[in-house]
Amino acid sequence: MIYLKSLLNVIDNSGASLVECVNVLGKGNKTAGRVGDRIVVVVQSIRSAKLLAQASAQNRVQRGDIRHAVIVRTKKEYQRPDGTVVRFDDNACVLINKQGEPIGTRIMGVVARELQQGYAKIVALAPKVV
Amino acid sequence: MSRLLLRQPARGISVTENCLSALRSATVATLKDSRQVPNAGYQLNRKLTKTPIKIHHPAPCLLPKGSEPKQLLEQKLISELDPTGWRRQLFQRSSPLALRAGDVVKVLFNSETNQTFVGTIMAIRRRGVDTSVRLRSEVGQLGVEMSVKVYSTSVKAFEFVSRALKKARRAKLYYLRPDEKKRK
Repeated sequence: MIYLKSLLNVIDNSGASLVECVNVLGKGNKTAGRVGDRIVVVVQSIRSAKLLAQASAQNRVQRGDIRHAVIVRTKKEYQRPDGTVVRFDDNACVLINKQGEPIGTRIMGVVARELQQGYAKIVALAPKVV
Repeated sequence: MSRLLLRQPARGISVTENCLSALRSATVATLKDSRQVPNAGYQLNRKLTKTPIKIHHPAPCLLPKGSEPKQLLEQKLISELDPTGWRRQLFQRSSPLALRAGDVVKVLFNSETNQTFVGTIMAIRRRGVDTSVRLRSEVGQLGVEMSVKVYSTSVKAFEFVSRALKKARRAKLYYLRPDEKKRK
């Protein structure tokens, strides 16, 4: 359940480390964001430059930037059509541009299978999909 | 006051008794008629009501009398979803192969990508056909929990990986979750 003021970990190499949700897109008023939803975020903290050798300087984000992101993990459990319930230990997202493509070039960590509909590129980059 | 109290019960009894006896005679008469003609629905006497009120025969009972429909449905579903009985073998308490909290299990799903999930059993929620297993796995440094419905058709198999080193002294191992306060 991601909504205004929710903090999310960023699991790509775009430069951001922690972001704060400002708005959940494409949903009704006061409807929380779930895995696969698009959100507007404000970058709260960034990773040190040493770790971002592969990200291009153009794509690197700064503290205070307002970006779009897609939720890839939530601590709040959700149910799949076959009855399986999935829960992660944290809330995480991947920064995307207006067209829905990830800004970064690598994804570090697990992502949810629900992203296959609409964010196939993120699923392809992810080392593990649950 | 006292005269009214004495009068009212007497009047009340006579009026209602008349009505009841009239109703009884009407329904008894019509019930007898309906028994002779089994397909006809029976009606109340026209003298009591202007328009006849149709009272329909009860629907035929599809199950034998005294049977429990919910239990029968459960048994039917379980026998359909688990014809060979391997799921019951793994999750029924009395079974010798029964899984316990603390065991490591691999779930194979019926998907195009042959999705699998390996995890420690945190909890077994036994609810007949709705039985589910909560598995916890550390993927990288991140914990993932998955609650899998045992009788789901999307589950291909449960592979037993390893038994718990020490028998868990609990049925539900929620203490395996990281302590949020310690993390910070």
